Amino acid sequence: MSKSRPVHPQSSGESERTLNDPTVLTRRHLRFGWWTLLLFLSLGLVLEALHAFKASGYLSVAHETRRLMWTLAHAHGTLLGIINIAFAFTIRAVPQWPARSRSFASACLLGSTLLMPAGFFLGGINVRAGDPGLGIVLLPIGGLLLVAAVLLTALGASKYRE
Amino acid sequence: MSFESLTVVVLLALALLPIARRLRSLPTRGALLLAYGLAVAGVYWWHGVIERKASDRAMLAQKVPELGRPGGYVSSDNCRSCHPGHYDSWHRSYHRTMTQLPSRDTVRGNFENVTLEFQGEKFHLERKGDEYWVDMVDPDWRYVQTLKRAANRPISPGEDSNPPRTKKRISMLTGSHHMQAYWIASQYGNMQFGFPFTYLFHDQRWAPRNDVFLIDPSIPWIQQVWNANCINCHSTGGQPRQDPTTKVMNSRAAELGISCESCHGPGEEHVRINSDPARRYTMHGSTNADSTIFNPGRQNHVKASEVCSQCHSIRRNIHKDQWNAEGVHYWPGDEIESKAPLVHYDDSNLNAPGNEKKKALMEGSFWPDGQVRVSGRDFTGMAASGCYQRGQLSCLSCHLLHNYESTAHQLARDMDGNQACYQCHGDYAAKIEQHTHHRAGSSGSLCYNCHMPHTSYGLLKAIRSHTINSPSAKSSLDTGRPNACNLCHLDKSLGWTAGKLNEWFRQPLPSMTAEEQTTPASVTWLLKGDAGQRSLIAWHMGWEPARATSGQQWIPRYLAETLVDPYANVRYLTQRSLKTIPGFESFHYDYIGSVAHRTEARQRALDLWKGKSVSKEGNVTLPQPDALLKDDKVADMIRQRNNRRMELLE
Repeated sequence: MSKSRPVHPQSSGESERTLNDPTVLTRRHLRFGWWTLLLFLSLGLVLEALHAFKASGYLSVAHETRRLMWTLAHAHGTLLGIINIAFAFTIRAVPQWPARSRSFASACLLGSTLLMPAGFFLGGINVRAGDPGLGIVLLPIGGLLLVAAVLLTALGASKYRE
Repeated sequence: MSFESLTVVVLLALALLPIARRLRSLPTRGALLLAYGLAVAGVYWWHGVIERKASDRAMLAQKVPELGRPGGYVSSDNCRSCHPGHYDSWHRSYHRTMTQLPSRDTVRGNFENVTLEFQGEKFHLERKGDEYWVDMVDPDWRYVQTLKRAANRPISPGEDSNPPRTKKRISMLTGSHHMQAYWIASQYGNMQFGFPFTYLFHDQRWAPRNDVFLIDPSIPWIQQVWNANCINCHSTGGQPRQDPTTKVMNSRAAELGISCESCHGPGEEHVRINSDPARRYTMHGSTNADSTIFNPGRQNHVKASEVCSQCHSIRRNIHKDQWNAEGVHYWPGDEIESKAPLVHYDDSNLNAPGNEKKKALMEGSFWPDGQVRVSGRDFTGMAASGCYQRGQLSCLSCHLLHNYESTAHQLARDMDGNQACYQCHGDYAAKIEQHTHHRAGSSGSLCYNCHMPHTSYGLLKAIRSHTINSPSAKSSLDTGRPNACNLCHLDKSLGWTAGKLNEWFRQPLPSMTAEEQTTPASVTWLLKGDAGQRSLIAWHMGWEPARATSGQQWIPRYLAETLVDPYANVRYLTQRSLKTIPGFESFHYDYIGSVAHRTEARQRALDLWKGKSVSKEGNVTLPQPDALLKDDKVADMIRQRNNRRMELLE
């Protein structure tokens, strides 16, 4: 007798199992978090080097906005990397967390991890008269996604029972 | 679509896609798609706005002097990362804001649909966002007319009577402390024409530019060109670069305003060599000066002061042939006298034909004994002092360009009092009353008030002389320059001063007329003096220490007379001082109002004064009755007024 496959109403693209499987989500966020951490810690090293060698394009007054934006990109990217790792452990720690809410929180967190540091970084590339470049529009959207992710995670964690 | 906006759109799609896949219903997916579409449309719109603004800025940048020049200048932008404290103190200074580009942060004049009138011409001012515009007679047309007249070229009949009007954008501004002048870009490259009005901060009003200087009212306003003169000291490393044939200007400067490299010299090599962190940390541990940059604070008093003197003195440019292309040939630390020697007073052959410029320079800058009399030339004054010639006095003895107490005079801590002089003359601290014959701590015991009185003029006020000398009645008689005693004791005569100086300091008694013996010297200078003397006295009659010493109720009697002075600046100073006197605080007067208004104001001031100072019995109840002259005597002195044409070259 062959094994019957479960029926998935939205089986277009990623399977429902992949979307909701806590093990898959945990691995995904651990992978994403550590690579994000590596990327933005490396960016920190680059920024430190720019300081050490007094790079005019980064340190001169004319590029003050760039310095601020890239510093924020480094800080937010690093922090979001750590949040992704913490999120992975939260998934494992709270098995009672409803799958749908968990899946949405995961998508929102991934989106914000992409948009927030990218918004800061792009905003620092093409600065206009002291204002960040166009990339900064990604920031509020990423911020909203992060708030949504944290809210859903907080609600999920509230279901935790010993 | 630019790469920047494309990246934003793609990143947004990547972030939202996982969320879309978790939405089950079609309407929610549609809503997310709609939100994405709106976000993309918003990105497009914002991109357009940003590009338009960038284009506006680029257009303005083409019309103002180019920023950046050869010669190793790197601009203050590159100094802050290593010198944030010094950068900050410089950034707060008026040196930085000497010349700026217009913006909401920098423009202080009222451009909110204001209409001004000058010599029959109307100027309509308006602000459009961050842009400041003037509807006026085309200044380019006016410039052409001026060139035609200068070259004796024919001007067609009626050409002058129907000047074309145009809208011009304010392109630069000068000043941020007392007043602000504005410049308008021309069609001749980046040549900047002067806007004929100046905005006065204290009065919050516009005034014609001639009426904020000490200048004979019969001298017509002349179209000023920033690139031809102001560029020397109102920018860093300015180079005029005018094409002699087409007159087109292609000026450039390391920076607008006075910045780091004005005093420390071009910094390219210093920045390059110190980009090596190993060198920087080696220098941090060393007490040696960095040889790649000039530091006035480590120089002797002559070298240190010469840096300030490149602007704060009267100098002659002996490299005129190279000046147009290369600007002033002096870098901090250089031998300045061989490049721009100090101008000394020389009154020989002033009236000889061909010496008109020399006469204007000498009479417009110096008192007849060679002491400088205009603001902003303080080094010329200081260099004539024994403290500099025989001592160690430098500009930096009292002023600090970085660790100053306040931005107003950039004085170092405690340098606004006797401590400044006690640095060298400390022995006077213990015997100050014995020396000054005034109570310690009083205005009469303040070294500055006797040895650096306000006998220079500029910026619509009297300014302390930087020639450090002692009060002398004879000097006042010889030169006409008011002395420190009579600038505080406004109610006393020159004879009184001569007597005190003889009694206290054994100065010989000079011979003088009966009027000089008895009439308050301030009144004589105010009524009979030239415009320079009248300006100084009009200002001192509002100076608080003088009013406290001399009483003030009698002062309006004389200030009423200078409300109708022919010189606008004298009238301005008069009304400022008059309004400091109780009862006159809200006195209505417009110093550039009509002659009828001024005449009416004079009578009103006299009536107000009489109403406050004369008793019902007709007695004048004043603390200084000797200071009052009879009306016919006042009228007689005004008839004797020195009406020589004056223009002080501030």
